[in-house]
Amino acid sequence: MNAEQRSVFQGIVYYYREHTVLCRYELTMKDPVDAELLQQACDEARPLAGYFFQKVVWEKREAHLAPNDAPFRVRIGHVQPHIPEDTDDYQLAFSCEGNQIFFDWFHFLADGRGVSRLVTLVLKLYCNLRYGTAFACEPLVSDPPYDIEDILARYPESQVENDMQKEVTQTSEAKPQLVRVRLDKQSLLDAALPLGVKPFSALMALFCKAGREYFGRDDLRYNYSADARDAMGTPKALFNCVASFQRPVTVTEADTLATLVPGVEADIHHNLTKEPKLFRVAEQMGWVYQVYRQRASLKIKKRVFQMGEYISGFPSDFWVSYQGDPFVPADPDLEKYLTDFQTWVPADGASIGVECTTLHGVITICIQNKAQKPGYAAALRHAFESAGVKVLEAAELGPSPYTSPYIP
Amino acid sequence: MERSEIVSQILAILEDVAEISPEDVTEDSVLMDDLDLSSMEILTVVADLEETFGLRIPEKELRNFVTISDLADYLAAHAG
Repeated sequence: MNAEQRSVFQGIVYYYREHTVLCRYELTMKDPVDAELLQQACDEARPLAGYFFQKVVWEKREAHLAPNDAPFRVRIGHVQPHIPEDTDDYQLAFSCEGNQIFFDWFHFLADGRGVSRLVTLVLKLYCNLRYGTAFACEPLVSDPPYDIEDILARYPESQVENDMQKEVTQTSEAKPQLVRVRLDKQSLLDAALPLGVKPFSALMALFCKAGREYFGRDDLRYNYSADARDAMGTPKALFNCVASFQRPVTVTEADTLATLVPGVEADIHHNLTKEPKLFRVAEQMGWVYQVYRQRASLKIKKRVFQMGEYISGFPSDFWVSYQGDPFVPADPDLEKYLTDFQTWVPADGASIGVECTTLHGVITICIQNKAQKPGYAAALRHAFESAGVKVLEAAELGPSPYTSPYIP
Repeated sequence: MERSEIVSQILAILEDVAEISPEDVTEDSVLMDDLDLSSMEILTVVADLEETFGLRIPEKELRNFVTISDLADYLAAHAG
């Protein structure tokens, strides 16, 4: 595999999935957004962040990135575009309406941590133009792509055969409903601290408690994703660099945060270290690599990948992605110009997909729920409040307007 | 479609994907043990069968495909 193939390798997963995984950041500014200045900011960002302004070219069975000479146009309105059909082959789009900036991207190009560097850059350029600030705007430099073949060679035991007789979680695939929950971050810290656990562990344990109430069963399976840049030795990677972990859990009615969180914490404490992350990347990407190397049409590869992901037991009841501060690097001066930040990602591989970010001491949890029943917001409120976590909002927002078109 | 035609299609795809001669296969052949097929090969056969028969096989059915006969039974029941 050459450098060009390596640079898009992890992103290839998103071409094998059944639906396009289009993600959205929704930033609310303190003032109405000036579309012309946002366009200017994007134009200034382009030479500083060339990676993001490329197009994907498929040749036979392989994809690579290539320069895109089309003008990059900021869109007006809140409707999520189909990428790349509506975006002149760009893999991302900026649009604005009222006080809001919408940033949409196809997961192929980058994960949340990767695109956050671009969003941070564009926002700084915009604030410099709009408010006369003097944010430094350096070019975005990426580490070279990791070599999956090296990692697979290092962990050959990760490549065991899929067990076709394994029990697999059956996900719900109803039309996604949006749920948004906002928590007071300090109250979560106050709940986690006496138990000696990470706030994320406390959050996850409470998701498990809410999951039992919502799904009406004791046995659940959840996934959580972790930034693998440090483990991979590519801390400045702009491309996808994610490890996803899965854990089954049994929750009883009597369980509390204190009884649930030790298991969650032990699992996270173990997994979020270098070796388990690398091993997990080998496990996950090993299957992708096998499919990638197969001499078959893209259509057959997609089906083989999807079935393989299923029999590997990857699907879960819910997954949680905790990004924390949405900007990279974090910058309190920049955050002064925002009043809200939301992240919406399709629940791919689970019935419920959960994205968490923090801004101004508030944890905003954006949820896409494909389970066909109401009551998730209420179950979350109940779980959080039972542990003393202050719930600022727990709302069912109705059907998702975000598109997730079928990949032909 | 006659069951014998379905079996012939399966054997043709099997030969294409895993280079196993149809003469070496019976309806009772176990995909993994007798034919030594990997998960990748089995899934490729299933994907090719979906293409050939114009149907989508739910993932939860995969565990039921132990022998050639299991595949043929499913296709006989569900294909056009």
